[in-house]
Amino acid sequence: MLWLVLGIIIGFALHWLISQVKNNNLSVQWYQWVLGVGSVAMLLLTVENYIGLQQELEPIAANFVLIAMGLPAVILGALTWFTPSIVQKFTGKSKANTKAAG
Amino acid sequence: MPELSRRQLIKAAGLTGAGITLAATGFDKHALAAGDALPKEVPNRYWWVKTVDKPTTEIDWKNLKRFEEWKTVRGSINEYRSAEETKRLDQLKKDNMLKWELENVPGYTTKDFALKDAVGAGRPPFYFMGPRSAKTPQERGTPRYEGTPEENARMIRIALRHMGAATVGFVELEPETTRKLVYAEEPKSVKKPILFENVDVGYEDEKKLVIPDKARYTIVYTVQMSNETMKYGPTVLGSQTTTLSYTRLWTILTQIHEFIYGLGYNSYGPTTSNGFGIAPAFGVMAGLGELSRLNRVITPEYGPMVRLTALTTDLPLAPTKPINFGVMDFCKDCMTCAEMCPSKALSLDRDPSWEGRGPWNNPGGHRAYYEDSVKCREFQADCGTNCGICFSSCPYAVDDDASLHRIVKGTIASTSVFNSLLVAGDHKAFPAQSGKPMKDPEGWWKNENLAEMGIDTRRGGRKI
Repeated sequence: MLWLVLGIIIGFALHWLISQVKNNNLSVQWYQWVLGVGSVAMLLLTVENYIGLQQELEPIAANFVLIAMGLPAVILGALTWFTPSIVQKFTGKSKANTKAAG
Repeated sequence: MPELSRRQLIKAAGLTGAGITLAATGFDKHALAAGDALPKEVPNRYWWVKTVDKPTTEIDWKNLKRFEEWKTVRGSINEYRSAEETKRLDQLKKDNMLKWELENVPGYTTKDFALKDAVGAGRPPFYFMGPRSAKTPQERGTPRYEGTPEENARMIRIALRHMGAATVGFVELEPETTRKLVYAEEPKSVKKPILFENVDVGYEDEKKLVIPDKARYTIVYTVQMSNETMKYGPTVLGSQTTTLSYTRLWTILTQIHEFIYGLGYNSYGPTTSNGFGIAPAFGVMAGLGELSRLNRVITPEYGPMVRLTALTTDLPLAPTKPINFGVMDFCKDCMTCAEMCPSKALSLDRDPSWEGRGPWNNPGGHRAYYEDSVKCREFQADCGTNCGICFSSCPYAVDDDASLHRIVKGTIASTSVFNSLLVAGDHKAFPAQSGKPMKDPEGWWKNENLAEMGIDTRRGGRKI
């Protein structure tokens, strides 16, 4: 049941994201998609293992997994959001500038 | 809410469908496979369990000799320590048990003692050849059952699983190798030699137990111990897990003897607890697990949380091969059980050795992490039970609800690079203290929703 609900949420979230990207003409790089998928996968793994370990009556292990797996998921999510600006800072030029020059 | 066009609606439905498809990966594939043409003819095994020709325990068959079981500490502890020490430890155990019950120490309360005795009740007596009360095919006027060794092995495995066994394997007894794993003499309470003769049907008399040469197909099976309840060791509450497991093990033994007899064949097994043969050795040779630092079998499905036994029969059975899933290599790096052992009885050497620690070991024939069993018994007297901290602190002693356990076990089986990191993670996630229960024993008595017998019987087969 949990996975059915999570799958539906992911489906709607993906639709909303794609709509936002199209409607607002957002530029999403390929590596952002990769980081984003990785972040969602880690998050799902965290949820699954947290619930599994609670079912095993191991609350300490469950909380440990929240940090050990949840934190990387959050970091990957943050990287998804911030990587373009990091790349921009590093390269000193934006896609828009490159497009204008071309 | 913005208006949706037909195109957008169909797109949304499509993406929702993608989400539902993703969700379906969480469905039980066995439930969905109900419409498959044929059931699987071999037991499910994790992909990272490799079948091998030689076990990961090195064995020198030439030097290995059949061992007298009564020489273990179970039968001969008083030979390995002084009479005064035995008297002291016996009194210590008696005093501690009384004191802790009177003080209502969690895990040593009256209800814990009552439960331990209760789960040991109802065990059937041991029979060398089973009760032989089932009707044979001949008595029913039909020929005895005939099948190929592969069909017979599958049949025995299915029957044993139905009786309550967890995993089942088969070993063919060869005089120069695997027959040496059968004890030369039974445990102290029986102490009869086990002999092999060229007879049609074996027998037991006042002096000996005789197995026919043709009864060379040995069945080895495990029963699960409750991983949850073992974490309350070394208290009486924790130890009743072992007691319950042995009750089930011996009950199944009687049943499988009768099943084989009811097919028209004969079987020969232990005449008392821990009899017939070296159970962990048979477990390794049958591919049920690997030997480990705690000197017991660690299984891929249940970790060390099993008890094993074996019996042999003249019903032809296809043997199963040993397995390798990285345990022996992992044990070199892990050391958790040895570090947690309250009496420091387990080996802290990185590598296993050919040298035993005392006459309670069967020396020279295999390379293992031999234990100082006398030291182990010292703490058993102190805590009043068979302890079991080595079992419960093992990183393999986990349940199966969280996928992380399979990821970790699969990683260990594939590479040793992450062993130290995984051990460190295990210590953080499942903290243990030497000599103390991992969980509060009084908490166990508050949970009315624990699994039956503390185990999940769908593990190991349908849930792989």
